[in-house]
Amino acid sequence: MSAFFLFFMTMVFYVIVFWIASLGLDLVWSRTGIPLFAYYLYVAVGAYLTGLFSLPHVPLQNGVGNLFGFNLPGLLALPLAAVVTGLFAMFVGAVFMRRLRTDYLAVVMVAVALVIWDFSQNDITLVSGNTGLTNIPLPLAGVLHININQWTYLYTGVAFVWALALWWIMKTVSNSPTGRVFRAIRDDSVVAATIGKNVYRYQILSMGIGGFYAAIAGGFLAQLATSWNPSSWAPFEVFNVFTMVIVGGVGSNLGMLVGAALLQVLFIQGPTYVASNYLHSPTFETLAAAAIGVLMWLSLWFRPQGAVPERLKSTAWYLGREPALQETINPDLTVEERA
Amino acid sequence: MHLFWIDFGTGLATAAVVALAATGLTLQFGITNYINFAYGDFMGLGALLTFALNNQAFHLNFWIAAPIAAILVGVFAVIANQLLLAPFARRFSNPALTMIVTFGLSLFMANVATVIWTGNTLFFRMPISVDKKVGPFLWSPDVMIVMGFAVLVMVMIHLLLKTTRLGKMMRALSDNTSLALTSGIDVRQITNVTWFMSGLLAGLGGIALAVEEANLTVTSAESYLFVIFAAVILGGIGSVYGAMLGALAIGLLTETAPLYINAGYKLDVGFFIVIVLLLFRPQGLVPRLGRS
Amino acid sequence: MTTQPTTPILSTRELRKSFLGVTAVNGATFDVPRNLITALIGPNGAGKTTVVSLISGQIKADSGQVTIDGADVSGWPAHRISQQGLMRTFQLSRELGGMTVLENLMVSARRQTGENLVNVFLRPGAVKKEEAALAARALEILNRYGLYHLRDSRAQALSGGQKKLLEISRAVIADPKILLLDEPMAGVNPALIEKIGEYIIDLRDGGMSILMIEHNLGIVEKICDNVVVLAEGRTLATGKMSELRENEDVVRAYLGEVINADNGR
Repeated sequence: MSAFFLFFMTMVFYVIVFWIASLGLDLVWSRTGIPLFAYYLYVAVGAYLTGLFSLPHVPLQNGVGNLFGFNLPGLLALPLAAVVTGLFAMFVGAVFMRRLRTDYLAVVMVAVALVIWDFSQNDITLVSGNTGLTNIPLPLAGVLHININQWTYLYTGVAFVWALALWWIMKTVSNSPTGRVFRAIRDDSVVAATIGKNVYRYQILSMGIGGFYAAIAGGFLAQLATSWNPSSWAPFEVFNVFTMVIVGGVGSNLGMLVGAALLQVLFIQGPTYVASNYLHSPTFETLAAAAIGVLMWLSLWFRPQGAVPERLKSTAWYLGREPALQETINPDLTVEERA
Repeated sequence: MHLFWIDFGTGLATAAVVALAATGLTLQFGITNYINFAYGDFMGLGALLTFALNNQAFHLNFWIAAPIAAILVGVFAVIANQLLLAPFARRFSNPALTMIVTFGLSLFMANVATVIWTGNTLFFRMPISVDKKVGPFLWSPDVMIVMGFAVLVMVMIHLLLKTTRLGKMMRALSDNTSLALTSGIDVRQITNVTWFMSGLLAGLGGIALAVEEANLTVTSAESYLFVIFAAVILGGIGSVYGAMLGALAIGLLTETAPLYINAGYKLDVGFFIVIVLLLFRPQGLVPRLGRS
Repeated sequence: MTTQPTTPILSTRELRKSFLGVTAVNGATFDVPRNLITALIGPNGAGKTTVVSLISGQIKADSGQVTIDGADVSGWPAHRISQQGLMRTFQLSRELGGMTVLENLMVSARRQTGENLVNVFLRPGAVKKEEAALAARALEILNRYGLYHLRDSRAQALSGGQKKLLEISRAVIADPKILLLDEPMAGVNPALIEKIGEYIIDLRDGGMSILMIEHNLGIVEKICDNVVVLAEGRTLATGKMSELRENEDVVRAYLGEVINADNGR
């Protein structure tokens, strides 16, 4: 297999992983209206937890060690890490949503992510500080006796199956009455409370689901790299995911795939490959990163609905499966009132 | 010599840096309802342009290059607002969207700066300034100039806001944008002046930071963004005098903190203050008088 | 404890609220009787909208008591007060702009099985069936209020009058015991004012209790059974409109000024 094919599959892997990540942020931000600038924190927490759950316990020695390790199979460590991250996200949400206006919330969320990032750099007792977690096992590799390249192809498939399941779940949630309550909160949280919805509870639920999705993405990133440390992520990388959401189309599950693919192929993985294989200089890569900002501005200005706009649910959509009900509405009664 | 007083002295120097930047940020807060995440990059731009004028082009003396660079950052801030931020803020009522736009500006500026100035540590071309004992403190002459300059700037801002017509209009616009709109103030012009001042002060703050740290990288100012926020929030968002007081408190706290906690956490003191204050006292510690 | 049908559906006792030292509501005390339309009137700045927001829980009162159908709801959060059977509309319409008109109604219905994610995944059939029935009910209400043709439009695209009707339909689908209307006819054309008046009377005849803020005393006289006069955050008087015209306090504080203004129109 050629090096290009390995690169290509790795890029596909990133597209899938960031599709998952942007689905989660889209729920919290575009569908519930919470500017969750700490989203990438949950990606990182998911990555660390996936590592910790699948690694054995290493007692602290020479500044390297992890507080605990469960030595679980990687396939199990990932969802377990995501559940714990989801609970953590709900806890953070419960603390901060209680009191804060949303514009302050945005700042506080970034500050929280920065504090925890600094903590991960300085604290060596939990996850080895800047060394971070290494040798995170490749799920299935040992069982199937395959090399790392073969594993990458296999695991891209595993990620794709996960993504399809998470896409279906997100679709089901957003089409449900629960998803409708989320959108009501996004449009006007005061009205949502007025019509009897417990806004606080739904916001926390939304953040929990978002945290779960972020953590799945983070867990996959850690498993692909077999390591995770403070230089694997930065709180401000959340901007890339926001851009994927905006470019793809806020509130659109398939749009998230488009946004993730566009950014990963043209602005992140693609330029990295070109820069390291042909240009032998990181400048091109850096310029591509700068261009993400420009892409976001242009997209938001000229096409705020994104590449795949959110689809409104029509009356036919709601009644479609029950044609008998359609007849109960007698169109003759309709008063065409131009108020 | 007691270590506490040395750190206290460093804290005063940091306070000078933070005061310059925080004043600029709070002036801008006064007329916008969103938070500018690119402000740290405005600071960095000041130091980098100084480096360019000082080391790369023209080879100007540092003390001449610095004010020119700061003015250029002011102009840049006006342009960034006119071309980018203001149109988005006008079009989208949701401040979170404008904040994401400023996020994008930050990413853009940081990456372009990396292309131009690389990721290496840079040094200004100026005589090495050796720390001297001043009472219980340890300061280099350059740092003392920076501190004196910061105090001078604070006094000038006070005079500008309190005694000039321009300052009165700036305060009016900051206190109540809609009222100012109807009272015949040229809002567009005052907005431009405010953004210019904000950029100028950011630039000065960034240069002062590089002098205090005796070097700079393209991202060194970015990490101070939340320390600056902390000062602004501590003083009450939009309050200039509050920001000055907040800067003093934050400067002293961050520099004396390493005496008691891991030095790696010194900037987190600022982040932590941001979190706790916004949770429990978002109006800041210094009440803004004459406001309802 | 059984509630006597003669007890008021809603009552407030000594409600107080000040904002930064400025008193907005200063001991408002009144009852809203069952199955009647009660008007809440008073000069500008009397605290009418604040009182409505205190009752519905958007704003927390400094002190005082609110009772809905015998239950003390003082200090409850807005969503629990709403669940107790209270719905309100807003003076400046607040539609859920990004959602369709139909969805604006559907989201407002009570006790939906699908508002719990466990049910969404474990009982999809039940949720689906309930959704279709709910959509049908929402369409019937939209039809009643002349919004049927707009069912699939984004709510933000509606005109001012249509938004007023949307707010009323959104409240009606929840079948509230008590409906608070904050100037339901402000800023709409005279033909629609007439229509909205009829809708409100129909709701009362259907058994709903209504408290509405209204400036136009002609309308109050025409459709309201009972009037509460608020001035400077206090209840000045209650009674029928015809009685209040005789009340000197009321005339001095409010009526004279507005009647003159009405004549001037």
